[in-house]
Amino acid sequence: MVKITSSDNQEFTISKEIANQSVLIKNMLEDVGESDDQPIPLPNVSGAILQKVIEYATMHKDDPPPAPEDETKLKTSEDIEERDKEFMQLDQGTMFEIILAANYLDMKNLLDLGCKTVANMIKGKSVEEVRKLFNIVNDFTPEEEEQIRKENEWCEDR
Amino acid sequence: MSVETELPGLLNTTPTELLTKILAWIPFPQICSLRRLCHLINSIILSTHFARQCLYLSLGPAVSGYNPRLRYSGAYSELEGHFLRAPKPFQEIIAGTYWPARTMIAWYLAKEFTGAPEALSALKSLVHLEMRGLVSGVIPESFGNLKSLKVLAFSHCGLTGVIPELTGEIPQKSETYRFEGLQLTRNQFSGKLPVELGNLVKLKMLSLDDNRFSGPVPSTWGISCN
Repeated sequence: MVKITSSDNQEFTISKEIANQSVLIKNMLEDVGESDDQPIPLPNVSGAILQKVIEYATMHKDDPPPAPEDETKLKTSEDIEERDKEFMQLDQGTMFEIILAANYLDMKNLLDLGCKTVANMIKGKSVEEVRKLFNIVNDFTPEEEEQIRKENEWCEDR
Repeated sequence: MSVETELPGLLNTTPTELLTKILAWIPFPQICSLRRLCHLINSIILSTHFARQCLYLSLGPAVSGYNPRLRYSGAYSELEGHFLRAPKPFQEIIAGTYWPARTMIAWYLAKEFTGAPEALSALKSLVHLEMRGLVSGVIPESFGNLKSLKVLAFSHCGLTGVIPELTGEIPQKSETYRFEGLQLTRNQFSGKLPVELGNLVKLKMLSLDDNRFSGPVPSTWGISCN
């Protein structure tokens, strides 16, 4: 078993196969060796987010190793497993924190899942809708925006 | 359903590296419409690094030595229609990565585009380059790098400037002589008629009428006998 602690000092005990899904933790374990049972500090991840990340890793612990990539098959953000879709039904804040945590912990599948989920929220929406959804402040001057709008006439008409 | 909370500038506080990863999943060309969101996102979308990632996810990896136009995929056939309107970094990746084996371009345009995109100078296999209906602009000097080009046709375009040195500084004479067709009818090209055109002994078709050239016909032209 492996012990990890979050930024707010919550300690989690997880199995090695779950821990190894994070390349960061895997490398740390290899560095410190088997005998060390000191908890691994993860100062960039809060307990609440770590809990979600462990939930994800537990759900995927029995996954077969990834098949070699089929280069002719196009990857799309729609390609998400049903259980992962359910897992990502979160509020926006948690969703972004999970993406940050997955990036920090070096968990490629979870990072991809987070990025695809956000991309799917953006897809098919107008610029105004996306701004509203993510509270993006329009920092263009009216002239700058008009210039881009002109350059974008070909792709903004949906 | 997920609950959308009102957090200020959430997307803006995410590191650029992660924003790049998220936005790359939005397929080309829809991604270009998002340039209007804010300065940060506009600058991400307009980077070459981003264009490469996004096109990779939209179109898949480029298959070397294979003409992508022949590949059965809607995304590929639409690529041609979007190319001239796409931002420069996208043009560069499309030309450099997806069209390296392309030998022919023949575009008849509806008088709405200006200038021939410089990105096309990456098409090292291109033999025939024809664009009709460009409104204005110049032939980029970098087109001199199109080492396989035999036919260059920009008639009825309203292009200005001088004809670039298409025969360039190519050392082997055989390459200097490879041009077979040069059609530049009805443009606004100016300056003297290029002397080096006389070296193009394989030239079968030359039309330069209805331009603004000045000076005499160079005496070297007599050598070209095809």
